Amino acid sequence: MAKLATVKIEKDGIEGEVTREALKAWERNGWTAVDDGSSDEPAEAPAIVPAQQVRNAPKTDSAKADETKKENG
Amino acid sequence: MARLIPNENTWIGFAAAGSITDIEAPTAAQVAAAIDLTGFCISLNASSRGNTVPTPSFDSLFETSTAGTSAATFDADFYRDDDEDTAWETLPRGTRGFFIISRFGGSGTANLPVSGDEVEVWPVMVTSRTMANMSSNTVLTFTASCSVNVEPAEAATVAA
Repeated sequence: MAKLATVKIEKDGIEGEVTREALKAWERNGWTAVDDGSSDEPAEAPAIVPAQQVRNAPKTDSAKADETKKENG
Repeated sequence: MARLIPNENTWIGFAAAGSITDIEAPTAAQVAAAIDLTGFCISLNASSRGNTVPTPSFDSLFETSTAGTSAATFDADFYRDDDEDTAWETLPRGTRGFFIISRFGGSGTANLPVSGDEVEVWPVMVTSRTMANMSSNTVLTFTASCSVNVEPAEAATVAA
């Protein structure tokens, strides 16, 4: 199961963590959000990996770029 | 000694993941901070089940067995509410947290468990939150099914 976006919450010095979807219910019960859950986002964009080249398959942009790089030394 | 029904006795709360540090002794403040779901709950099934492993041998006609693993299941039915849909909104699929159950009710206001009261603490993750079949003249309810990801504390005592 994919990790759900969670939000850290606090009430009377007690800390907890809830899903963003459930935040409204917790706020109604006196809890306040400590962060906006942005820490759940990946710190860096995932690396772009060239697609595997297969005979007779159309070339992808990244494969073409690799070839150009090789030709230019 | 008295035999009781859960109505006006049992208290059920849901505490956020990470908000209870010791499930054998949750503090009164941690219990009080939980969302009170008593008024939404229709039925609750928190049960554990043990397995036995057969250990027969040639020297006896009696089939012996030994204790094996154990597991627990947790599911509960709640009402929907078009004004404050607290139970539904608190328990979306994937939610982690702790169900706190005081079957005989706590000593605090509206049966809230306070210091010294015995409770059960069930660490859970909601695996499904599904509406009951909709039919004429029937109140809207849903079932929350949960995995029990840590051994529950079935005889915890609320600490000060």
